Amino acid sequence: MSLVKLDFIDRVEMDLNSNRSEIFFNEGMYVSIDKVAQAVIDAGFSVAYLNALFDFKEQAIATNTCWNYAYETYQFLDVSQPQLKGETVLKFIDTNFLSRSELKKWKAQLSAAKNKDCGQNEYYFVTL
Amino acid sequence: MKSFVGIILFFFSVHLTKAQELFIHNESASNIPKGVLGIRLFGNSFNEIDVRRNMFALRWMYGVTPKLSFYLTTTFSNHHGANLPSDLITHRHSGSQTIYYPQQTQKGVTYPLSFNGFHLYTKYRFLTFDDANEHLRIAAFGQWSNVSNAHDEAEPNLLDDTKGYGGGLIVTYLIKRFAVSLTTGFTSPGDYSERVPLFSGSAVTTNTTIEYGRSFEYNLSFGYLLYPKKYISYEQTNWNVYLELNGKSYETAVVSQDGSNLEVQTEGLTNGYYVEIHPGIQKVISSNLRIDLSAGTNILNTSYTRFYPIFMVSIQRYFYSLKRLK
Repeated sequence: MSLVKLDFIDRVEMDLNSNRSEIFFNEGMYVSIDKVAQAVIDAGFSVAYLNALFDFKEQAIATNTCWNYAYETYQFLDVSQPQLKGETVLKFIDTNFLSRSELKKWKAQLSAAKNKDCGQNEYYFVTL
Repeated sequence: MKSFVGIILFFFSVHLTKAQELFIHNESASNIPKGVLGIRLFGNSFNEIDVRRNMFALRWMYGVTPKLSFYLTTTFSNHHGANLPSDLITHRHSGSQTIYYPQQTQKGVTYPLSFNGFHLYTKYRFLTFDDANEHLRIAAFGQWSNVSNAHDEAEPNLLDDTKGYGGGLIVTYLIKRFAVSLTTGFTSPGDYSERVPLFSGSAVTTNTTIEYGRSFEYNLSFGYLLYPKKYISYEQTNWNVYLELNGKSYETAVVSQDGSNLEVQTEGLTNGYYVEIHPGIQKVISSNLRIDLSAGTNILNTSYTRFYPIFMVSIQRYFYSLKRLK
C-alpha cells in the first residue's frame, strides 16, 4: 500500500489478518491525515475508522471548540470532557475516515458542525 | 503544546491482496490501485484436430483513479488465415439457378501466427459496500477492439476475432475466504469484408462480407483462498482455486457476396448459445506476482470458435512507484 511512500511516515505496523495498522510518524514533520486516508482509498480499500494519538499538555475543549495545530484546525464533536491532558485518542469524523454505517450516525452532528466557522484553514472533525 | 504520536487505522478488506477475487477468466468489480501499472502475459491453447491453436496476449493495465482502470491488450494467434477459407462459400444448382451459400469450412488447417490488433478495456467501480471481512462491489465496463480477422463464425470475440465494442456490469461479493462474481455484458461486433479474385489468377474479384452476430455474455466466477490460513507477512504465497462458468449467446451472422445476402444454415454461422466451465488454480507470490492455470470445456452446447479442452496460462505483476520505500 502507498502509505509507505508518504514522507512523514516512519513505519507502519500492520496486522495482516485484521487489517488494523498502527502508523508512526517521523518526528517534527508535518502530518496530513487526509493523505493517510487517501492512500488507503487509492489502494482500493475503504477506511473503517481512523484514530490518532495526541499528547496534550492542557487543552480546554467543548463541543464545537476549534483549535489549531500544525497548519490545520480541529473541531470537536460531541465531547463532555472539559480538558485534554496527556496521551489522548482522537477519532476522525468525515467521509474518508469512517465506514458508511458509522458515518450515518454522525450525519446530523456533522451537518450542524459544518455550519460553524472555524476559520479559513482546512479543518477536521474529531471526537473522543 | 501538543504533539502527534501516531495513528491507528483500520480499513476494510478481507485480505490485503483480495486474492480470491483475482479471477482467471473474468474481471472482478475491484480495480487496480491508483497510479499502479500492471502487466499481464497470457495465452490459451487447444487442439483443433491435428493443429495446435494458440493465442498469446500482452496486457498493460493502469489504475487512473481508485475507481477507474484502463487496459490495453495486443494479441497474436494462429486462428485465422489472411483471407476467409476458400471453401467457405459453395454453391448448388436449382434448375437454371446457381445458389451460393456458406458451408462449414475444413477444420485443422494450419495458419501462421499473426498479429490480431488492439483491444481497449475500461472499468469503473461505481458502488462499494465494504465491511469487515466482506464487500460487495459493482462496476461497469466498456471495451473496444480494432481486430479484423478473417473470422468465419457468427460468435464475436473482441480480443482476437472481431472488431467492435461492448460493455456490461460486474457484481462481486466477497466474504472471508470466498468470492463470487457475476459478469453480464453485450458485444456489438463490426463487419469483416474482403475482396479477393474469383478464382486463382482471375482479374475478376468478388467481395465477401460477414456481419457477425451480436452477443450477450453471462459469466459466473467463484474463488476460494486456500492458503495461507493466517497471514503473517506480505511475502507469503497465496494459493487460490477458481471455478468459472462462461456463457454466451449470439445471433446468426449475415453473409453476403457482392451485395447479395446468402442463406446461412451452417452451425458455426447461425445463432447459438453455450456455457463452458473453467476450473483453475492460482499462485500469488509476495502479494504481487500472479501465476494462473486453467483448463476448460463445454457443459452446455459448444462454441464453434474453439475445440475442447482449452488451456489458459497467465502471469501478471504490478509495478508500484519506484519511490516506494520498503
